[in-house]
Amino acid sequence: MTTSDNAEWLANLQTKLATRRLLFVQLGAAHEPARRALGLAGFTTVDVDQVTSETVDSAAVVVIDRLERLIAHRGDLSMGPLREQVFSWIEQGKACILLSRAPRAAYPAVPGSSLLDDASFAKGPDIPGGRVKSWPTCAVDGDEAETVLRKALHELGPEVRGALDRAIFECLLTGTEAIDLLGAREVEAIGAAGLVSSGAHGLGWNFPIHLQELKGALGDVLSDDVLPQAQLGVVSRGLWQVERMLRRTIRLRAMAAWGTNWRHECVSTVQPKEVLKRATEAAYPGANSIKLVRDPLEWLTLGELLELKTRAEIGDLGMSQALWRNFAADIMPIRNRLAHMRTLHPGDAADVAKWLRALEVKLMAVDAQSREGSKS
Amino acid sequence: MSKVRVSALAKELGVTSKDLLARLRTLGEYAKTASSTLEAPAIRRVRQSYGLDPEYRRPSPRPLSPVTPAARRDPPPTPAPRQGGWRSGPVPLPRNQDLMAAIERLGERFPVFRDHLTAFRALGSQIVFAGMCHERNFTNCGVALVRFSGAIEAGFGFTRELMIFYSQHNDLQGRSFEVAARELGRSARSVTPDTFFMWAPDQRLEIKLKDWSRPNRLAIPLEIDSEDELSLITLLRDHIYARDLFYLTTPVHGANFFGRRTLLQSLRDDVFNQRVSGVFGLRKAGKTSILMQLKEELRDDQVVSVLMDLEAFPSPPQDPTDDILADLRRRLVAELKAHKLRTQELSELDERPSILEFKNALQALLKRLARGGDRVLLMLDEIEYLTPADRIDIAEGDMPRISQLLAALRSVVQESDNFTFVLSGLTSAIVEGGRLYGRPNPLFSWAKAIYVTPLTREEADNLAGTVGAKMGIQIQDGALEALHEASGGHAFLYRNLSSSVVGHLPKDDFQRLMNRSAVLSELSDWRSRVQGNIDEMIQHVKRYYPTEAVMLELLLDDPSDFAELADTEHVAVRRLKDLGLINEEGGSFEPSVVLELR
Repeated sequence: MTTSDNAEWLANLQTKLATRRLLFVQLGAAHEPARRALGLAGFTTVDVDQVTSETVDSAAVVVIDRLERLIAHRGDLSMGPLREQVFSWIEQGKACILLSRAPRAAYPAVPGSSLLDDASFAKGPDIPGGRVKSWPTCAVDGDEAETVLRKALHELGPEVRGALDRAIFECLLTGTEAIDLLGAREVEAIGAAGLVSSGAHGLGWNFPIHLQELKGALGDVLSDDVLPQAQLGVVSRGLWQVERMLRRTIRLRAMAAWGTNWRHECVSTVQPKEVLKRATEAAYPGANSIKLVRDPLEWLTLGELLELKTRAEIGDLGMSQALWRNFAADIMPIRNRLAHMRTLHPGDAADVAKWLRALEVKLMAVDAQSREGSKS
Repeated sequence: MSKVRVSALAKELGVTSKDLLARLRTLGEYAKTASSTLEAPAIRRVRQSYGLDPEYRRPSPRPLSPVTPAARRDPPPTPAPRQGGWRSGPVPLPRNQDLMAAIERLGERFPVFRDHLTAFRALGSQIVFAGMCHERNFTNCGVALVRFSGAIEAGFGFTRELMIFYSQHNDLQGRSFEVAARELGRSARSVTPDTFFMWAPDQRLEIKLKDWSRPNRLAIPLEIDSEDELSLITLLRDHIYARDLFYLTTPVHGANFFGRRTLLQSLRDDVFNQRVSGVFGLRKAGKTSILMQLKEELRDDQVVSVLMDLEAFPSPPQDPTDDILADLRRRLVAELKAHKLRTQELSELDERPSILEFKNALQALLKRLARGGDRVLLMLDEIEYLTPADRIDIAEGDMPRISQLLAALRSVVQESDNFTFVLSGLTSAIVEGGRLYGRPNPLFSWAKAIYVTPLTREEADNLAGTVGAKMGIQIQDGALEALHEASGGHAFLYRNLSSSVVGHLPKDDFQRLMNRSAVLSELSDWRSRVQGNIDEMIQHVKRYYPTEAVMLELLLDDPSDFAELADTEHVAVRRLKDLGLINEEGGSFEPSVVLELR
């Protein structure tokens, strides 16, 4: 990587900027020299925290630096007002670069139109050979490859790391199959971070010998993730509601169907003794019968709860088998990830929100029927 | 037609031998060096590819005589034969004495104008207006309008005259560019709104204009070589063909807006009949553009429109109503003032009024405005910021002031004769839920939901044809069909794909043609580039249309399960069709093209 490579990259960036007007440039640990080159290109650079207060009247190109600060919602600015400001600059004829160390996939979803989606994507200069040692930060600045790789993985954010975890560790994939398992925005992220690059046969990993170097670093970085993800609150709240709603509906159906014997009937598919054991070990030290447990359904797993639908008295709870199948396929893995305090995947929050609202509509009608049934 | 050397033909065409050799290779003709000779068929093909009559032969060159006032009054000089292609459909020589005098005066102020006049006339084009700039401090700048020959208009997609702005500054500043841009809007004549020529005795004119120009305001440095009759054409080609007008970052209106006539008419009727509508659709379906276009179209109808983007405000669980009211008051006052209308009732309000204070003031003001026949239209865009379903329970959540605000707006609509509002966003929940934040939803069964469907083939063809023409591109039927098929008519995807194809069309070809194979060869790369956008669209469907998202996945997994449920889930099925995500044909359903792009 030489000065002229950066000059060519900058020239291409400017050409793209001339037509696109708004670029999201992911430039992280692998590309420190390109970040410096961009800083010297004569553009007006504004820190993301200063966007609403800085004056950029005479600027033709505004670079909004440290965009990744918005991920943690630090500072007063959020993505909505930033979009309004950026669009007003574009209307004035300026062009804008959103400069970020983090990929687009790392940013939390916004309720409406997304500035990141409005922008065209750009990454750093292509890296000949691709290996970490030849990343510009290592080749030009002489930084240690292992450190730069860990930094790059850290910048990707927990969602993309979670996706890599699934492809590389859980699915034991190493070649293009691993890349194919990732979503479009995840591939974009790891491409810009330098983990993969395009070759004659499409995208390929920049790590030889079964991705050993990547696996080692990824394993370490994943184990260092101790801060909660942005979507954790939404996902855990949603799952809690989903499961509580499901229990309430089953409980009402069970009470309507079996009267006072509902507790025993509900756990008969599992083994009353096993359920009692779980309850007494955690909260009911004195209970010696399932009848003494307020709500035995609280001691069933989600899978066991869903199993109850096979009982004719409980039935399909207003949703077809096909929908329940999809529900289980979407929700069980997320619940599992959360139960084991593992990293959530990028689409988890949307999947939980989808099923929460779908179940709300479906189960409400079933609950009303059950309540009517109990009265009569 | 006899054989011609590459170098001779290059000279005739006004290009370098190297360029011509490259062109020959793209045409499948082989010539080794500049001294290689070409056979007649190859010569014809080359000439055709440069937009010239294939049979023309260049006569011996003769210099253009300098233009004298007398000569300028004479009929235009007979053009050199090679210019014939571009001077087809010539503009008649102006006869108006006032115009002739104005041309004369501008030529005296800016002698270079005479060279330009000669160059235009040589290509069958005429100056149809000449005068001075009206803006203070810039009255020494000249303004002229040129009407191009039919061939040039067709070749570069011009349908109106083009402005030329002359400045005497040898160190041109950005404000001169802004003045020139304003001058465009000031002309009483029909002038090309997004492109103009600029001249100044500044060595760095080209660099500066390149820096200041933007896609909707292209300034071309009018620097032409008087020795080269095709210089003007080359100049236009280098600037017009380099643009990509398909790609847009911000919402569009005016000349860049296409189609949606039925929807716009319906919204317009709603404004005059005081109905409240919600415009809903997928991300990037063109909702904001529709609002902006509506605003523009209502400008002459005594309708004061205020378009508010709710994304800039706090969103529940934070209460945004105080901020919204304050901004609404401020914007209404500003817009009414811009229309020179009364603002007193709102101006006298506290900067952060309560809902009731705002409602009462607005009602009082509307009564006064009604006397003069003026109406007010409020457009609330990005409405999902009021109902972020993944952050708060919008039916029973603790945010009653949003319900109260909407109820107040509804009450103003009902109690006045000249006010209504339009909502727009991804989700129709705000008009379709029976309850909103613990109260009966004031918009339920009252506001009308309109979905922005994909562009019809006719609308899309119109868009592509018009935008393509502005870049000198002729788009064949097969290409139009492929563009629509591949994008499903989704506005953003359609423009994005068109832009990708244009990016690979030659820029030095005078007959730019987009054919079906050009579109098809771009599809694979384009699909991988837009996959992220499609994923984001689907994520939003999951957030805001849960049952629809569940059904959609069912359709993708197992169409027979979907068909089984289609009757009981008819509301979701209808909405999926409205959103352009599924198609129904003969009672069976299939995912739309948008989903196939995932």
